Amino acid sequence: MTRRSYDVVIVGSGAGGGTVAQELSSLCRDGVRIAVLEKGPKLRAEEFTGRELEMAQVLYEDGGGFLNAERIMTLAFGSTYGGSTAVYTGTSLLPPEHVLQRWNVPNCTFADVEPRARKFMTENNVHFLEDKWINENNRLFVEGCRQLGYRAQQFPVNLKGCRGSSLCNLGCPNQAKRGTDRVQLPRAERNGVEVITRCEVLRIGEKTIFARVHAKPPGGKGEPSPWQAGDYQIDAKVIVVCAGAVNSPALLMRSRIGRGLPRLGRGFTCHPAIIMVAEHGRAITNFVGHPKSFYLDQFAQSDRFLLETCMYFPFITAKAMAGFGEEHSRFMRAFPRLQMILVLACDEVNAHNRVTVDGSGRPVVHYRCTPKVMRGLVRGAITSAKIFFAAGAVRVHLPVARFATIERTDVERLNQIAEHPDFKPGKISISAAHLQGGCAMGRGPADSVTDGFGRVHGIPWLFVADSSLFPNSLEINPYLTIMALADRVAETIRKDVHALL
Amino acid sequence: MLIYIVGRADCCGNSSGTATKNPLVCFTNGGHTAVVSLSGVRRARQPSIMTKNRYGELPMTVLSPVRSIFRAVVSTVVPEAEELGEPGWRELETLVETTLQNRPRAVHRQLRLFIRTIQWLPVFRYGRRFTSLSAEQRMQVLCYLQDHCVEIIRCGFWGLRTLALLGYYGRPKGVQATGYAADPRGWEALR
Repeated sequence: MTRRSYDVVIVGSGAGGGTVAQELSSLCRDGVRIAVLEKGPKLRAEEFTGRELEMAQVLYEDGGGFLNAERIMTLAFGSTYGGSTAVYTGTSLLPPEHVLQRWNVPNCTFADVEPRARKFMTENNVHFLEDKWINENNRLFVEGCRQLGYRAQQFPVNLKGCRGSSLCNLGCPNQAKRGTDRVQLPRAERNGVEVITRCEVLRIGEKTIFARVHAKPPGGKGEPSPWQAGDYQIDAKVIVVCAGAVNSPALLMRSRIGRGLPRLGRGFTCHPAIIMVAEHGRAITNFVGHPKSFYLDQFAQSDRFLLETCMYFPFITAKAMAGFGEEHSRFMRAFPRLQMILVLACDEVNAHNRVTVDGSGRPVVHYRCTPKVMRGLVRGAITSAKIFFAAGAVRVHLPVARFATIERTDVERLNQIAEHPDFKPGKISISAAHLQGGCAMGRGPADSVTDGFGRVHGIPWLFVADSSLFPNSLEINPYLTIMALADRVAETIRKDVHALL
Repeated sequence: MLIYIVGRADCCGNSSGTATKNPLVCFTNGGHTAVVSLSGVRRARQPSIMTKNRYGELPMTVLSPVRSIFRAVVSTVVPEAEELGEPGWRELETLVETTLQNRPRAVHRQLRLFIRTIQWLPVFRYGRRFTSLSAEQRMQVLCYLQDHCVEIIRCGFWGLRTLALLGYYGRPKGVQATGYAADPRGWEALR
């Protein structure tokens, strides 16, 4: 086993890890040694081909097919340089004030978090896309909402030089998305932070990390790790865990850090989502242009769902639709005429839903859709169908209906379906990408894993800085909030640097 | 564990056409690949592609024993798959095998068991095996599984259906048939 030594080691390079790396990188000038350990590879610009299976296999954990223990839902999270910021659509919303108030975490107020989120809005070039770059898939959503009297809102996005490939979720082939892979990590590296890719952290000991660096597979994508393949023991005075809502709690558990922390792994939420598809009578611009430019949140409080525009790739679309056979194929063959909406349920912390580890230390996500979540998804699906028809769609695929194809002439059926939905977990494809909780912030070990600044209770050298800190669902796309919380963690470390190092 | 011999000691090909220098034998075991070579043993975790044998074929570790049933299921899930020739089927199955390679072996066994169950289940109702049924009858059998009252059976079918869709729509020709044509050049390509 090779031994290395650093002052600060950051586990993970996504919205949390990338931000912490940048915010601590000024310490490198004073001789502080900082390393980021990233499990995934770093791809070269020309390796982002936009080909669905090929890119998913390289950029996502389990190729994007990470299943929960009940096998009713797939979880999508990045495993690459930049983490999930390399594979999201760049949507960047400020944290909602009412959510932070409800979290009620000491010292973690809206007044403190919001300006930090705004700082990253500026840094990552968050802005509204100009009207001329909005495609018809998005315009039809706005038009449908307008017809029904709903208030669709535009997503601020962190793009620069977007060419409208629509391939955001497969890693931007034009490097136009300003995730941590394009902004924070390169800046941190310029300041002296080392980023070690293909480095899987096995467990954490007392101020020590045990990790394994994997060789680049023959013929695989990405740069080789800067370290030789093999096992490493890395001593660190401070460890910041930013491996995401699935891997952060799992890492602490297999490191046996959870013994005095009964809330570790608890409080997992994820905005379970279903993809809605509708067919128009003519071709529309859908697989060109930014895929996710608008959303509708006016039902978030009353009916517990959000709607977002989206446009997915053939396999994901085929998987998302319920059923099979001729009817399924008919929608697939109509791809240039398809409009899509993503329905996200606003789930809440639930006793069953949690992260654990199996016998070999691999993360296991236990998640069941509560009746409230199922209701939210059904209402969201019905509302989407109404929006589709209001926008002119000729037929809608409604996965929560016994017979999923709803023709325009049969629109009255929607209310009947709303009363008697056919929502069977295991039949409907549910996916989630907003993974949150598991190492929640709070007051003490009885109600949380860390304090309001991400420091693990009772372990002064160990911090968490990612979406696992959320004590409950954020109810919106989480990246700016993760970055703001990571900024707080980094500031705490900087302030305590003399005591910690 | 599957062991397959690479014919030439200086070339271990893969589907992207690149070659690993000097291997003698490749092992795959639960998503791990080890290449034993004259220069020692290297270990690669979760390879993104499978290694071909000397005939340029991929080792069919999961679907081989149930191939005809799997093809009948795929043709029911995606009726256009009936038109696939042997190269098309091989391409589809390669994508499925590559995906399964990164899954635990227990999942492989469960999948084979589930596929065999689909083959024999219709005997109770139709007196014939799945592969001997008409297209309509096959459709009814799969609908029965998809709507089954036991969640684990629905989940099993969902997994199999997902693999069928992955194999079909993961192929460039499958994508082309849908009319999907996203281009990295975006708006510029449209104009």
